[in-house]
Amino acid sequence: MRLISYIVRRLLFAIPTLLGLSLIIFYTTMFFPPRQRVRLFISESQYQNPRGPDPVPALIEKYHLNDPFLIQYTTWLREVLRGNFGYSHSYNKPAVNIILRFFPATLELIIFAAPITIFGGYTLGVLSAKRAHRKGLHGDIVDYVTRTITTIGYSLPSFVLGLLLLVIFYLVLGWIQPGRLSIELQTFVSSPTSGWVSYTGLLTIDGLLNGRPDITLDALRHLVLPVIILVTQNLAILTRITRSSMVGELVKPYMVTAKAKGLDEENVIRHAKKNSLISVLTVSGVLFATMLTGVVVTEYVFLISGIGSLVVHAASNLDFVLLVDVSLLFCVVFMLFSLIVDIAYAYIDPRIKP
Amino acid sequence: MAFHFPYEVKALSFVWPIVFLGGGPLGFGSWLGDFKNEIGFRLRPTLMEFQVVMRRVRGDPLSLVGAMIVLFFMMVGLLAPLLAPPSHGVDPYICPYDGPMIGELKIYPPPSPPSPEHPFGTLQGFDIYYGCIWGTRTAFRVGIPVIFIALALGLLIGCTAGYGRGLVDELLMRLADIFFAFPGILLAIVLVVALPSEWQINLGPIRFAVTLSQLDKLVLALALVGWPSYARVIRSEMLRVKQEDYVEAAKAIGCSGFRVLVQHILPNSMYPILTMAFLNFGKTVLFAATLSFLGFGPEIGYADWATIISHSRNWIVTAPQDPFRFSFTWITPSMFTFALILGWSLLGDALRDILDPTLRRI
Repeated sequence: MRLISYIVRRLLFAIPTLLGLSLIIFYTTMFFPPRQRVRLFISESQYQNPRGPDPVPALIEKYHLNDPFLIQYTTWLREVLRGNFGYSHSYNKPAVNIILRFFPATLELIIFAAPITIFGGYTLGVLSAKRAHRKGLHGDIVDYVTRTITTIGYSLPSFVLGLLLLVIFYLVLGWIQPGRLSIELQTFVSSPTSGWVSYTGLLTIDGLLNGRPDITLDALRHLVLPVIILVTQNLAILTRITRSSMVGELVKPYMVTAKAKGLDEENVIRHAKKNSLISVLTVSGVLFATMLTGVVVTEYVFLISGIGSLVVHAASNLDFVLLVDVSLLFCVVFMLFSLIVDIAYAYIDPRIKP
Repeated sequence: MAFHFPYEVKALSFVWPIVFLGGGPLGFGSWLGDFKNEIGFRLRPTLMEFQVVMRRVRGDPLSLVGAMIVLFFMMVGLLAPLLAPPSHGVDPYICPYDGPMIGELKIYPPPSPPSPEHPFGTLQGFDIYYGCIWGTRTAFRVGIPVIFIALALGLLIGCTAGYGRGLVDELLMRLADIFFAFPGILLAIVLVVALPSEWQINLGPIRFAVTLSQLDKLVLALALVGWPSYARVIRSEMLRVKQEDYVEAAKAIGCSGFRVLVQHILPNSMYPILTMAFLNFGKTVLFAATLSFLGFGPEIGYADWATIISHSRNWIVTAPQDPFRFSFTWITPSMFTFALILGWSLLGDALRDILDPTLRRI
């Protein structure tokens, strides 16, 4: 019961932040002329009517696009709350449809990358910290290797790693092509007569639901390289954070107490593990941001039609309607994410009351 | 009146002598021993601390490697006009073009492999060696202003919030929260797209136009993404320092509010964010390179590592029978980018471990 009221309170607190975010997002569009900003409001391509009078001035009038900023903002906010997210001129479709079509690919990437990152990074960090604790500041060979790998993984730009993997696995070995599926399967999936039903948009799951395990396998094969790139950088960051917070915990007085009580090493480490999780949670926002950066780069390099490549496409075509909507989407996702993190805090740290 | 400096602030202050004097690689810890007797009692703990730091730096080979790499890039950046002399009267950041032209129009030829005139080859007629050397300057030219603008913004907002308290504090920190909740890369991309190339500023009698190049937009966007973390840290530091006895003492002897802020609170709450800014440089370069790679950086021909890599991407898939045919175009600038970021994070890691007083005894 207390948890529910906590969640409700947190959601209420999120409203001002969301309002502020939408204000900033909308403000960035003010650099464009009203004639282009009309696209934020219309849901059909009404304004491209070649015959008849130009409808744009009427639309500008209707949505108060020549009025002061706050009036425009409230008009826009009302439209957004009513579910009108504007029109993408580079795809000639309503923006919502485009985002819904591109979202599953990104979701699929994250579904595979996030657990590997979290479990791998945490385990490596704990391992490395244990070794470092036993051997002094610089640790033994395991710690040393882990630190070297994470430093390299952290410093190697993800686009460089992406290009490297692309050249090796695509051009030299010829194993995997860029994209989400092989060409013949892709044409099968996208042809309307094939009987392919897109239940979730996630190709790995849809393949099983459609009774086509070969498509699932092919989609998995194509996910390997992108997931490697996504994991590398985040794993490095998470390992470093876990290691340093773990090393910090292992020298605290309560560790000495635990040892003095006669606990064996496993149990002593368990105390530190739980406390080091708190600082890992604190930086999870950073991890979210790096993950998103990774997604953008990975999708751009591997030609995956997900939100990341959508952002790049929209930005290079000045399709700001898509940018505005994607920004709104990710801000909401991030708020939800931080809500989950805050709930997790309350579970891990009994000092924090929900 | 005894000055009571918090321990970690003093410890962190050692970043600066080490960084600026190259204390690690030059290793002047040895003559410090004789020097120590000359200095008065007040500086003795400081110097002992410095010696501990020096010993740690020498004991950790990785930090030396990092410092070497960073110094190397600083030298390359400083000596760029000697290493790759620019021709007269042209913007030195534009790579020399060596390819066919029709009048003023450049016909971009395919990349040509390394040769005596072009040691790293050319990309669409532009010399890659020149681009890599001057790209070092570009990296600093992007990274340093980004850090400074973000630091200035963060300092201004953080100080106002920390000193003002109450409603001002609440509002400014909510603003920081809002910027925090906006995923960095999205905000940067949105800003790069939204910022106009020409900004008419009209303040009644004062009227002027600001022209922003693509690189300036990148710098502004990155700075606007970066300031909230500085603002938060400076605010919390100020809240802590305000409680210290010496601030009370300064107030008690009748210092004005402004003087207390500038003379007593600021100097003692600055070091953490200066350190943070220093450590953030590598991250900033990486972020700028990522945006540049995605096509939001300067146009082709500009001496920027990620721009070269970004345009090489088009040539990778053109020769499937010979995959490494055009790889020289992106491997060299990639190595430059990687090395700079690696050097900086090695140095930063080592400094963080060495200077963290809580990790002293392990």
